[in-house]
Amino acid sequence: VTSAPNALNDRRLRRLREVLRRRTGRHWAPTDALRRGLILGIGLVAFGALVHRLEAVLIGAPVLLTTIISLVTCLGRGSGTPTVRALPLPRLIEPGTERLMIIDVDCDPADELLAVRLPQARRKGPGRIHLLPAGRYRIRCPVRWSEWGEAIVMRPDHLVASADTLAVYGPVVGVATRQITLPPFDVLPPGPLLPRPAGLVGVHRSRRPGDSTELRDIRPFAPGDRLRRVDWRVSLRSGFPDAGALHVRERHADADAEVILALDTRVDVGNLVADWSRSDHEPGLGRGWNRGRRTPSRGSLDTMIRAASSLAACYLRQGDRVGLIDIGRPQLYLAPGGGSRQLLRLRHRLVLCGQAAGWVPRPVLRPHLVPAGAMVVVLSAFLDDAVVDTAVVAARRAGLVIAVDVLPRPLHPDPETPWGEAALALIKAEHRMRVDALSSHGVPVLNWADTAVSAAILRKLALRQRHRVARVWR
Amino acid sequence: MADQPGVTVVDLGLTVPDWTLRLLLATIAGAICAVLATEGMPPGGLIILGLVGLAVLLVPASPAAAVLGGGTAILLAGYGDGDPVRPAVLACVVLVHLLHVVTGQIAIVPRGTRIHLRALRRPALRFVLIQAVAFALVGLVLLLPRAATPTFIEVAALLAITALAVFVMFLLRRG
Repeated sequence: VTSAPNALNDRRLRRLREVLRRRTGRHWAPTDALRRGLILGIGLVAFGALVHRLEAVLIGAPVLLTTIISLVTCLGRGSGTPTVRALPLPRLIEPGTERLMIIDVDCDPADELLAVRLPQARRKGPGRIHLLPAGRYRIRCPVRWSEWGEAIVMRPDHLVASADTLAVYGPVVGVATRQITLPPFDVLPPGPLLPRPAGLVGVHRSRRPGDSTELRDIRPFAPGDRLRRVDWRVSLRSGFPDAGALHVRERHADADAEVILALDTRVDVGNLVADWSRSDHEPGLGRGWNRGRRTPSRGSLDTMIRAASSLAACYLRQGDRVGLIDIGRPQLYLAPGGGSRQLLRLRHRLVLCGQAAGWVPRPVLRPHLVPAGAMVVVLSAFLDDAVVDTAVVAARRAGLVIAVDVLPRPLHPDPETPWGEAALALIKAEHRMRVDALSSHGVPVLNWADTAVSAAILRKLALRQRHRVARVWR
Repeated sequence: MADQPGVTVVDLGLTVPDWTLRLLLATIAGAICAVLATEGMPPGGLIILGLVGLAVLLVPASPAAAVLGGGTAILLAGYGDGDPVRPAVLACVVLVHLLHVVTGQIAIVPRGTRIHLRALRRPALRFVLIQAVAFALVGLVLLLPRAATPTFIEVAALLAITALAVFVMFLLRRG
């Protein structure tokens, strides 16, 4: 009694599967070549026989013969369906490393051609179609990318054709494989940092006395001082043990520091000012004010992400704790942390910031996200006043704020308008005013031109900061 | 299938762009027009065939290739000087077959495709084999006497062709 509805359901399910299979292209279908071969072959032979013209028979015979042979081969193929499958890949990769992408092809020996989309060696994206012989083999595609960001790196769309392309299986859209290429980082010298006792270990001098090797003070012995800290030479010179007092050497403590990288991802601009207001994106020129796809380019956003990655690597290498705030998207906040895993987390978060980049009228740098005493590095193109206000407010709250200017240089005016030069002069003047305003509020501005220049400026800033700190604590 | 015995690992080797196949197709269409021109085809007809050839090039998966192949054969039969095994016919035996094969291959590859030369080995071998058979047929035609064919052979041939056509229609309806 119960088998009849089950059979009905099975039939419906089979029919549904059949319909879905046909819609996805996962079935064999005859092509124009089959119709052409049969109609042309039979038609010409019949026409020649009817009108007694051998020319038509001779021309039609090879077409008919090849079609029949291929048709017989096609009908005699096994019942298995061709499969083209990409082997899984790691989700995160380092830029510039060579990867081997592997695609397994499993087709019947009777099948003849395989058109499959394979990744390109040096360009991200699903790649281009390759026409290969069908069969059972494995394709190896070595690829190497230098661009950071998330992208589809492989999607083996495929189509299998029988002999003489009389029937095709597909086209089948393959399963897309996405990969995240982490932003690269350059080796920088140790940057300027404000000393504060945030932890028990680190490389920066703390204001507290401790057990490092750096001398802080020499003072008379007090109850609680350890005997091994007694400076016998100074004590004897002061007259000990007859008249003078016992003196001890006081040393600084070592501490780590917290660095917050504040990214202004609201703007991505390139060298050509004319492109800033364009909706389409030209690679290497930035994408203007919050438009276009979020693919990395050599615009200000790309420079910013690379600079942030390099700074994070620099500070994390010396044992500091680094966090990240996207002042355009505060929800992408990453709490400060240390170690190599934090660098990985941070670079991954930078990719997300690059993807989510977009214009918001007001940058947000919430005070509770910046730990007390942390150094804040604001990375921006400084093309609006709001980000300057944010940096200045942060400088009042935090101990040290450094601004990293990522505006591309040199800027080129719009050649299509007579006002191009004037507009560029205005942009430059406004930018200069913002940079001056930052400097006047005690925020040093670092122009991130290239790694060598940036390293030199960082070294100079670090020295200046060390002198300033030394003056403050004396 | 990873590291299984018997699974061949293939590195991507020598490729040619897809436009080489399209160029070959254009050459074939041009050669067909040239052959017909040598047969005394009027310029108007050549222009029409040229346009059909252009249609084949632009839309390979269309009936244009069948029109070009069929039209060529019919025109050769119509404009012939009586000898069925003349050089123009022999050239068209090769060209129409090649047109059929190359059009089929172009129809399945989108623009920008890289074609691996080893993919064309099997179709090329089959083409050579079938051309050998076709030229054997030509040799047979040359050997046979040019007298009128007996009626019963013609009837049998037409019946065989009809049966083949019915079989093909049945196959096509089955999909």
